[in-house]
Amino acid sequence: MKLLPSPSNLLAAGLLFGQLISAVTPSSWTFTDATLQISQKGAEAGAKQRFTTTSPISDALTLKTTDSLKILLTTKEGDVAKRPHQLFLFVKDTSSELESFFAFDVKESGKARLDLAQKDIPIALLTSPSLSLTVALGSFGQSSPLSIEIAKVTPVLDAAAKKALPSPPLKYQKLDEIHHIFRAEPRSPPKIISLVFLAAVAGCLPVLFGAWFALSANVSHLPKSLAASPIAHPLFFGSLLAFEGVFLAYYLKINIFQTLGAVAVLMPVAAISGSRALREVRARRLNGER
Amino acid sequence: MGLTLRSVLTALVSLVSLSQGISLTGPRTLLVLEDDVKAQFQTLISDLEARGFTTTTHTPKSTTLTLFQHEERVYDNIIIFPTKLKGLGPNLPSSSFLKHATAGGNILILLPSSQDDNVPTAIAELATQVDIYLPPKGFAVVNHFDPADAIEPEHNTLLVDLPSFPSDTKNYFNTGEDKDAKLLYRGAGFAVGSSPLVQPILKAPRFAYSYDTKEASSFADDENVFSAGKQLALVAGVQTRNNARITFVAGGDLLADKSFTKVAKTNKMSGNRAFAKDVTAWTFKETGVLRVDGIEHWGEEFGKEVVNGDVYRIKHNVTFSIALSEYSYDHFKPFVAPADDAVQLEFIMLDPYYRIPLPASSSPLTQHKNSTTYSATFKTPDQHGVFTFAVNYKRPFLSNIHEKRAVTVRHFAHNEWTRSWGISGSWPWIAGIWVVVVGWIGFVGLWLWSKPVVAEGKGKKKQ
Repeated sequence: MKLLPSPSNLLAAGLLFGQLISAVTPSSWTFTDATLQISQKGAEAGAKQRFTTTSPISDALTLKTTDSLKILLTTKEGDVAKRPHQLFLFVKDTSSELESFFAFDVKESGKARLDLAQKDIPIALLTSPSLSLTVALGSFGQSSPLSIEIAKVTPVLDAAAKKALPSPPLKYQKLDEIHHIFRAEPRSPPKIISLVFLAAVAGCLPVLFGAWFALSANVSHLPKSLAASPIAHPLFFGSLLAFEGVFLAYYLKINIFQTLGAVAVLMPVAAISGSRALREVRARRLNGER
Repeated sequence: MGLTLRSVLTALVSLVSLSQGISLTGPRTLLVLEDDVKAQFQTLISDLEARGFTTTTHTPKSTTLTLFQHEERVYDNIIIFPTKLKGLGPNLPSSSFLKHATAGGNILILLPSSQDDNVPTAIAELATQVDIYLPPKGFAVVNHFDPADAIEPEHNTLLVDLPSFPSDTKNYFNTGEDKDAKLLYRGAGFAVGSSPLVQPILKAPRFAYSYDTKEASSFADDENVFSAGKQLALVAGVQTRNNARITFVAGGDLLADKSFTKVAKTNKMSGNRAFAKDVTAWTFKETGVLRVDGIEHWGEEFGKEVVNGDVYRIKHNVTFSIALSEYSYDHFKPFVAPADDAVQLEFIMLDPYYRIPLPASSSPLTQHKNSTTYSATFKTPDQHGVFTFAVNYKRPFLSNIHEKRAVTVRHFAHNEWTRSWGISGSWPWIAGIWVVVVGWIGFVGLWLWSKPVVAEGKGKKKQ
């Protein structure tokens, strides 16, 4: 090993240093000649859309069930066409942030190709309203990697594919709320109609009594009957009124047992006083007064 | 219930005997490692011991090691450290780990960071059984986009952000002081299945990928990439149905001493040490354990006089409340549900008739000191039968709560219906009854006491 640097050694050292600088100077990964093409199975391929690292495809793209997507590009490190270690297309659901990736097929020359049919994309992403496509390329070493969103694609599922969608896997999370739907409350007709019919029904009573009195009904024999049987007649009529009173009480508050008790008390009174009262009525009939 | 009693006991024990925190499962911790590995994890082990864990060390091939004695767990927690061995010893088959977890014990598994090291067969088997899929030997994660060291060309030491979760999930893994600290990571990563029992804790950065270092050294083609981006998990936690926890760390160096250092790029300390505490605390049940402190329900009929009664009426307001607390290292504190999450109550008869959120109540019936009371009022359905109040609160990283209370919902009693005069549509019919009554009484009076007016009157005709 020489301790003193000779001019030739200095030159060599300088060259080496220069090489080091060029190696350390970060170049960056990039791509050129990039196209994206959507073609349908059995149909003519769609138009090739060009994109570059600075201008992504701005058109809205749709990917139908039988469609497939073809991306061609050439990767470069700085200005030299070269194969990077990583060249992936990331497909992301823009709403759920779910993301999947697809590796390109890259030749040593840097020519890369990716064929992506809709069925290759996971179902969870296909149900998204919009997918963002990002190309990511990078490799070992100092060159800076590149990631760029190249397009937005709307996946369209046909009816059969939609039907075949599996239910999403169980996830521990808040579930949808459920509120009981009550049956409709029972409803009454408008009150005015009820009142009209109430008036019509109640009106029958004066009509009935009016008709009876018009046909010369009267209570003229009342004093005579009271004189003939002063206890039986009031008691009989009173017990009939009391029966109705018991029924009213049953309707309003008392129970069936109290009602039966009251009826049991009233029954013999009504039966005995009734038979006495009717005996008096028969006496009047036999006298020809009825 | 068993958990509650046990947790109260352990909480008492921790108060009496130790000032540090203690796991709800217990402090007895088994370290499975070879002697040369122990030196790499000094800080992790001493941090655990400082928190009250008692450690026992065994080598993987140890013949004296036994996880069960008299069918009882010997250890509460197990840590499997990275090993170069292809297989663990005869006393550590994968079934022994499952038996340990079934008995309520926790397991933390550190996989080797180096792609040249093996994952023992028993561990790979266990992983598959809990829906975690490890890549074969030789895989490594790289990230060309944000390598930890700009000079190092391999890009296999990653800088990873501390975990963040959607707003409906509690984050127990970012409790360190520096929330923006980066984690240093090296390892292979793994894929996580769709089971709700397994949750990824730490995911790879967006453009990172795990590839076969032997087969794909020059280019990562489709066949030799294991997974990439957010689908690639670096740390994942499994919580079994009995709330035992199994955590997989894909790169053991994440918790090793050499990662508890300054990050060259940011010139700040890495977040690894705090993250190691969070991961071990969650795995060994120092965090994320819920307890039900009380359930109360009462109805409109008897008000707060009758609490937890058996019978409610249909279409009556009923209030249900549940008090929840969560364990935090050495004490129970009120559990606060995440912002976008909700503790939900279901009112079930075969199907849920209601599933409603239970908001935190400011004025609970019984004031619990260390818990939050979640409460809601709803109207019982117009359907009688035997219903169940059910709180089925299962969330990532939280121990499961599944509480049920059955009650009878009865129909209207006969005197609880609206009276007939209160229904306007019945008025004509009620009037009809009284017209008949008055008409009949009048008719009886006239029949008894009417006097024929003329000789050819009705009296004669009636006979």
